[in-house]
Amino acid sequence: MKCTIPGSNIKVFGRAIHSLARIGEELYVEPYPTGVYFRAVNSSRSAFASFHFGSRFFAHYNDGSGGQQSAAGEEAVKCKVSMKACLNVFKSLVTLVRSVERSKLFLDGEEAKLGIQFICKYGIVKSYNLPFIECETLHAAYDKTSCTNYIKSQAQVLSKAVINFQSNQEEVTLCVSSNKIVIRTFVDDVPDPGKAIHTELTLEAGEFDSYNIPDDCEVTFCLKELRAILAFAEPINLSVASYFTEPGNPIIFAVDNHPMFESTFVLATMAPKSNTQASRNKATDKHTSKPGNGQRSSASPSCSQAASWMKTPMPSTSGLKQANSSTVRRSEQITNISNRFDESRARLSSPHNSSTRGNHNPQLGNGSARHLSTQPVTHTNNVNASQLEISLPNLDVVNKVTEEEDVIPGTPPSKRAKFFFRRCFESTFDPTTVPGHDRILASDSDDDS
Amino acid sequence: MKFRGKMVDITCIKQFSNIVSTVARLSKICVLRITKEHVYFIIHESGAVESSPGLWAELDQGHFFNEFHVEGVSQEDNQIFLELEPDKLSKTLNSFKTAQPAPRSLKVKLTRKHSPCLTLEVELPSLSVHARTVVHDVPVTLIPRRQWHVYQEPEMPQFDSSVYLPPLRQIKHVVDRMKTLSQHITFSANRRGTLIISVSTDVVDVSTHFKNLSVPVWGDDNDTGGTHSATVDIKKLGLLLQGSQINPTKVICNIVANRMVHMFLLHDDVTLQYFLPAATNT
Repeated sequence: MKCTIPGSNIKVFGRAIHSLARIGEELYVEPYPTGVYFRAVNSSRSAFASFHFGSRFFAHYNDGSGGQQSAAGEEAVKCKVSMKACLNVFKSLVTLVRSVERSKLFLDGEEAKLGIQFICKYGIVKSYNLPFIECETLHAAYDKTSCTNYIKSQAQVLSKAVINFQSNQEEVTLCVSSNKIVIRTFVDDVPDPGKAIHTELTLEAGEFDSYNIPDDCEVTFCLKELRAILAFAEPINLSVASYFTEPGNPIIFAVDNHPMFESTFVLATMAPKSNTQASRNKATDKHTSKPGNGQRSSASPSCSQAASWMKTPMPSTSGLKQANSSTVRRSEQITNISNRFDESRARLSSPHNSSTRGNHNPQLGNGSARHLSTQPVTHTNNVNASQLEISLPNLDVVNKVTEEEDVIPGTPPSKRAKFFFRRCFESTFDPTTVPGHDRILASDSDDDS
Repeated sequence: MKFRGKMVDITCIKQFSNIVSTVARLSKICVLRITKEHVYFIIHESGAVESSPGLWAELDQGHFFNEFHVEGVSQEDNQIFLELEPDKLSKTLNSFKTAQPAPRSLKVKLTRKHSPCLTLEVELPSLSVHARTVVHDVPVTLIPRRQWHVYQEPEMPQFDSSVYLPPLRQIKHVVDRMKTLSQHITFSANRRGTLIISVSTDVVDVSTHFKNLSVPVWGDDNDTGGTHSATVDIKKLGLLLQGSQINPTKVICNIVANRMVHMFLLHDDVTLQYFLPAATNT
C-alpha cells in the first residue's frame, strides 16, 4: 500500500489514531482497493474500533494489490503495528498541522515495516519506520441494520453530556424511552455502592437529530470508549449515530463522512443480570444482592459477550494465556510442596509411622514429578526431585526458591506468605514473644536520621 | 431534617466550588455544618489526615444562596452536621466548571436515596431550547447530635502577637524555598509589624524578614513589645498555601508563643481560619 495524505487531512487522520489508541494496544492496517481500514480492539475484546478512509481522503492511493509491482491477484499486506509507536508519530497534532505539508504512508512487505513520512515546510522530511507483523483481518460480527433502537445527534450533544461524569467513572447506563434519554452512572460493581457518586443526566428527545426508540430499554457500556469516539467526532462537528437493541448485544456508534472517511465503534454492553440493574431502578433501591463474581472491570461480564461477536485468531493472546496457565501451574506446584511439607512434618513427629509413610511418599513424588514435567524445566524442578526425602529445613529452602521466583519487589506479601507464615498475621501475634527476637542479625542498612 | 439551597449567580457558584476544592486539598474528610445563617466547612485536626491543618470556613449563606431552607433536628437545634468527602463534592462541582455553557443554577439538597446524599441539581443550558438537568448524588454521613460538640466553633486563641500578612503568594514563594531545607518553620512576629519566617538546620539558618506590616487593632492591647514565635510543620503550611484557591482581601496571622499559628483569611462573605499547631519535636 502506498498513499499520500494532504496537509489539510492530517489533523483528522491524527485524531483517528489518537482515538484508536484509546481502544487498543495494536493498530491493524488493512488496505483494500476502495480505501484503507485502521482498526483496534481492546485487550478484553469488549470494544472494537474501525476507521475507514476512502481513496478520496488521500491525494494519492494505491492499495498495492496486483497492478504495478507484482502479479495480479495478490492480496495487499494486512498487518498490525504497535499502537504506542504509532501514537508517538502523531503525538503533537498541533505542531504537525502547522508544519506538515503532506504525509506519505506505505507498507513495505519485504522489510515488514510501515513507513510514515512527513514532508514538512522548508524541505524537511521526517521518516518513521514502524515494524509490523502480518496478520489476518480483524473483524467484528455486528449488524447495524438489525438494531431496533437508533438515535443520532451532534457529537457535541453527547460530549457535553459525558463531561458531567467523573473522569474515573467506568461504565454508564443509557436508558432510553420514547421521549427522553437518561444517562446515569453504573455503580453496582464498586466495592461499596453507598459511597459512590451517582450522576444522572436527562436528555430530551428533541435534542437529537433523529430519534427512533420503539421500546424502552437500557444498556450499560464503558464510558472510556465512548469518550474516544466523541473526542474524534466533536472537533470536526460530525454527528454520531448509535444503534443498539438490548442489553447484552453490542452498541454501535458510527460517524459517517462518506466518501472521505467513516468510523465505527462497537462496544460490548453488559448482559442483563436479573438482580442488579433491575433492582437499581426501583425507588426503594436496596443493594442487597450482588453478583458473586465481582464485575470489577468491564472485562468480566462483557468479555464473554465480546468473544461471541469478535472472531479473529490472535497469536498474541494465546501467548498470554500460556503465561497465565503457567502461573496457575506454579501455584499448583506450591500446594504440592506444602502437602509434602505437612507430610514430612508428620513423619518427623511420629517416627514409628515412618515406614507406612515412606510407602506413600514415592508415589506422591512420582505424581508431582509427572505434573512438573509439563512445565518448562527450571532449577526448582531439580531441587524438588532431589530433596524429596529430606527433612524440614531443606524443604523450607525449596519454598524460598519458588517464592523468590515470581516475587515482584515492592508488592505486598502475597496470600502465599499468609499461608506459610499464618501465625505472624494473626492479631494476637506478638513478635516480642518469639525467642531470639531481640538479637539483631543484621543492622539496618541506612540510618534514618 | 431538611436542607435545600439554590445558587443562581455564576460567580457565587464558582466561588463555592473554589472553596470546596480548597477544602478538598487539605483533607479527605470534612464536616459540613448548615445553620440558618451560615454554612461551615470544618476540618477537625484529630479526625483529618495527619498532615492537614485544622480549618474553620464560614460562608455567609445570604451571599451564596438565592433560596435557602434548613430544618434541623428540632426547633432549638436548628442545624445539620454532615460528614462528607470534599474531594467527591469538588469533582462534581468541577465537572460543570469546565463545561463551556455555564450552569444556569445549582440546587443543593439533602436527600435520602440509596444512602443519605447531598444532591446537586445542575441546570445546564443545552444546544436546543430544552434545559438539561444533571443530578449528582454525593454520599454523606449524618453526624448525630451527641457528637456535635466536637465540631463547635473554636475560640479565638489568646495570641501573643498578631500581624497582617503580606500577599499569600509571596509567603508561598518563600516557604517553597525553605521546604527543601527543613521540616519545620518558625513564625516570629512582634506588635510593631515585623514578621520573620525562618528555618534553621545544622548547616544553615535562613530567615526572611517582612517589615512595616500593618497590625490589626484588637481591643485589649497589653502590648509587651516582645517578639513571639511558634514553630510549625512546614508541610502543613505548604498544604495550606497551595490549597488556597480563594484570594482573600486580608490575612491575619496570630501567633500563640510556642503553641500555635492561627491564620485568619478574610473575604467579604467568607472567612477561613486555619490552625497550625506548633510542632512538638523542635
